[in-house]
Parts: sequence; C-alpha cells; structure tokens
Amino acid sequence: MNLSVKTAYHQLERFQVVDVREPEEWAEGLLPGALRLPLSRLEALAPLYLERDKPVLLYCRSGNRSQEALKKLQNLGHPQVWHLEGGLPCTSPV
Amino acid sequence: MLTVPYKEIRPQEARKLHEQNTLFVDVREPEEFAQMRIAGAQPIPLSELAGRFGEIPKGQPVVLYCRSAQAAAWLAAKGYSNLLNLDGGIMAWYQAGLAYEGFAVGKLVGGIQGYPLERPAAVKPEEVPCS
Repeated sequence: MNLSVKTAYHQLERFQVVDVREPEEWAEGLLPGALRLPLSRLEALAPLYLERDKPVLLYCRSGNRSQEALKKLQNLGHPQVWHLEGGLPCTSPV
Repeated sequence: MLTVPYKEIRPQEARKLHEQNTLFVDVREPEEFAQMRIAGAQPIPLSELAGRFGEIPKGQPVVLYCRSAQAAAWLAAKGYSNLLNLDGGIMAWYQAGLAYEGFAVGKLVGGIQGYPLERPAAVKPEEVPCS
C-alpha cells in the first residue's frame, strides 16, 4: 500500500523512523529523530530498539536497502512497516 | 447543478458510523483486503460489483472505501441513496490512528525532496547504537 510522504512527514512522530544506511553515510543528513540501525545489523538491533505497536518507517539512500529491511522486519513479526520509496535525496543537508 | 450522488466523509465521521455498526464495503481486490481492512467491512471488489451489488441493502447508510468514488457513482445510478465515501480510503483511516485489521505494510511515495534533514552535527556519537 502507498502512503504519501506529504501526509506522513508531518506525522513523523507517529513513526519509529529508522535509517538503515551504514555509519559512513550518516553525515549526508538524517530524517528528524531517526534511529540509526544499519541494515547489516538490523536483525540484531531491531529487537532492542523497535517497539512492535508503533509503525516503523525505514529509509536509506535509494530505497533498495529499506525495502530489504522491510522484509526483514516483517519476518520478525512487525505488523506496521513502511519504507521510503526513492530514499533520501542526494542533495547536501542545509 | 447536478446533485452529488454520494457524500464524502472524513475518517472521524466514518469512525462514528463504524461504531454504530453501519455497513462498510471495501471495493479493493481480495489480496489488498486480506492484507489490511477495516474491521467488519464487506469485501466486494470493484471488478465484481456489477454482479454482486445486490448484496448491499438499499435504504440504509453504506460507507464505501478505497477507489470507491467510481463504485459510489455506479451504485447511485442503481438507486442507492444513502452512500458515503470515505475520503482518502483506508490510508486516511490508518493515518487518523483508527483501528484496523491485518498488516500496515507498504511504501511512502512522492519523494522526500525539499523536506528538511537533520544536520550532520545532530548526529551524536553517543546515540549511535553500535560500537
């Protein structure tokens, strides 16, 4: 299913926002309030940091890793998982 | 001026109707219904509406949701008069924080370009969850 970024962005506090990029990419900028759980360690970190009863919003640079992360979290039994199609823009943060 | 054949309602209004046991009809395809739906909704896919609309009782309010404007207009032409269309469908319902059945899984579309990011300075090493 599709949610629009326009609507969701103003409700980011409803989501557990998760950056699944690797540490060297964080300097490119983060979504406000994002947890940083790199895809390579997601399955180990998710049970420690993510609540099941709150929706999770995953993002990465292009949308590929976040899609993979979505499948991993679904397999871990998370009932509400969303990922950001297209990822973060390549532009530098302000 | 044409009379509008159905009324658009917002999620909170739909919630009140849901609490009053108003009939909800989900016109999406079965796999979408299976993934996520409003509790108690009757699945009648748009593709089957022409053959199954008789399952929807006339003369009582009916809430339609998801790609339902077309269904509502079609039913209105068949003589249904108390049709309500949930504006924004099940996603608006979900966004309003209302209860649903199934799994809320999918993607955020439309791109994040133009929205502010946190500055790199905001990345505090002590928050980093891995060593």
